[in-house]
Amino acid sequence: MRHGRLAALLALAAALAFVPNVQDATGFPTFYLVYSYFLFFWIAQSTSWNILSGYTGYFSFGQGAFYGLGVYTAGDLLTREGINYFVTIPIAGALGGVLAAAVGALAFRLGSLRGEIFALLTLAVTFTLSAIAQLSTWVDGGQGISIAVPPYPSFLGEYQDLIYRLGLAVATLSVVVAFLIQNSRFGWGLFAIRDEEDVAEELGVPTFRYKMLAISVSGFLGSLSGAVAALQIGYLTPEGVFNLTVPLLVVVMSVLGGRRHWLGPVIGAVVIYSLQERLTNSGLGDWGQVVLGSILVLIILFAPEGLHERLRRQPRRAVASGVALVVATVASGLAGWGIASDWLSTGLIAGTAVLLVGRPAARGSGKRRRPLDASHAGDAAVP
Amino acid sequence: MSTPGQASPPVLECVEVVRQFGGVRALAGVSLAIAPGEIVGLVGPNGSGKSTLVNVIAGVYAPTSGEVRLDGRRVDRLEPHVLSHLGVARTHQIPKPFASMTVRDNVAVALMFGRISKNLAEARRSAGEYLDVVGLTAHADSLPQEINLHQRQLLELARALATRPALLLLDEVLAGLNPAELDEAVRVLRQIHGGGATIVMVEHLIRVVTGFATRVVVLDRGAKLADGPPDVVMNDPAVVQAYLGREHRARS
Repeated sequence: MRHGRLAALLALAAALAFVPNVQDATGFPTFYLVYSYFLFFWIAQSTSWNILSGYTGYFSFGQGAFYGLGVYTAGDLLTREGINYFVTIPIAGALGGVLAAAVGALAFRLGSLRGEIFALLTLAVTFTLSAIAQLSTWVDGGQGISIAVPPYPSFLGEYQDLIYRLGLAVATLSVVVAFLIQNSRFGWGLFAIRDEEDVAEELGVPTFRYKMLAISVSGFLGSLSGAVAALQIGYLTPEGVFNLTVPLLVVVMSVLGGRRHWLGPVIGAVVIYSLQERLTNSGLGDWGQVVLGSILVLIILFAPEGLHERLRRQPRRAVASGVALVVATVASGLAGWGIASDWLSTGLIAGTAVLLVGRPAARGSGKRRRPLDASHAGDAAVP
Repeated sequence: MSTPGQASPPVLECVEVVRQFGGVRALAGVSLAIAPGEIVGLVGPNGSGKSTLVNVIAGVYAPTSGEVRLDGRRVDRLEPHVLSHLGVARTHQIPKPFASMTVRDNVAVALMFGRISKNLAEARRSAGEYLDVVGLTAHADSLPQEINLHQRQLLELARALATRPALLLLDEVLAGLNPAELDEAVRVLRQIHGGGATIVMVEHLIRVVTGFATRVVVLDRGAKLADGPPDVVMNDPAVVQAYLGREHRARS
């Protein structure tokens, strides 16, 4: 069962790797490759965040630090040191892992650094890196860095095809890692830490080592994805890289999708990025932050368990949501509302709305409650 | 410091254990040796240092001075997860289940991270045995929020048992139970003891442990006030004077 899902995941990734070839054959707009790249990017970033913050419960606002470190490591090494771009990617990942381990060594040694203090510490790390990038002429110095197109093997296709494929590779790696962790002894140790850390330690979970490993994996993946993002951004500035977009969006995405399952951040990333694109295309881009903030508040109040949990617990509602998605997509397509990606965004928003509106099953009417709860309990046993 | 007539070397030995919290001396030099198979009732009024002593033995707090030995090996600087692997398990007065996991998986986690680590499938299979012992089999697939307080206390116990402890520390596991639940809990504890575990049970009320413990240790203000068989300790003038006085008279 587990191997089956993993194989399906890898098969899907392999198929997606050929989309640029399909584009060559059919000539659909390059825009869709860019759009897909951003989906991969957000999937990788929110999955990276979730391995630390979702699985262990240590809420981090420092995703921007890992991301920015990756962007600048690849950008600097490529343009200033002339190092082969494909070598800079793993270097960026490794540095992200090291930075994360340093933050972890500080935060996790002091047992009192839980909750909001941990969140603030990780945010402070982001600001510190931003200041360093701003001040150090070796990193940036404030003039910005233009990323030249690096040489790469021709079989990887056009430049946008390269970025698309690298984004896909990092997203796939992130999701596979999150999947493997969730189904491993390590993952169960992390969940035990999230639920009751002191008890986990007393029952034999080496909590310090596990938290260190989780934050390092998270930092590694976040920086790896940042290294790929450097190419897509093209022109780096400290303000553009180390702003609050990444740390805030990964939180919204993971909370919306669900933090207890590897699929949660994937679902959240797809829905939120599509929503944001839809707003931008409707000329409402400036309202994006307001909309995202409102969404975060509403989810935390009314659906803290996230979309994934709802899909799993309420099969009937999941079907209704799927129907709403298809109907809204087709309807906006027939209405000629924007382009194809907008139709899908409209569908996703409709499907999400159906999932979120109303009360979750656990609080539902008395008669239905027991069997649903029981089936949930059974499911929880097989994540 | 060992009980007379005791032949085997102690499972647990505390030597002059002191623990300070800022200026407060929670433990003021406690020495204690516990032989295999004993059931020690650790009693004393609030603030006497019972819970602190349990936390020091379980590795949650390091002693300010003094030593803790387990089977002769010094353990007072080890982390709780290492102590768990050396055979120390404890329960909490207020149950702390893993809220997102089923009752069965709560026990399975203890098995996965036990001395002999198991994979998830094996751990889930074995979890059933421990749920059987405490009588929670019917609730194996419930979430902790769906069972009552007594059942959650039994879950604490099952989880501690699943680490296969040589020394089991029970923190007020009998507190707040109704008579029927108390009988049931004592039955479970006897069964656990029959399985070979040495038990230290913290209780606020001495009366609760006299029928079950083979030895009672009374703490008062961080120091040992009395130590011996229940009937002897109960009639110790110092104990009656300092701690039991009011309550004992009131109940007899």
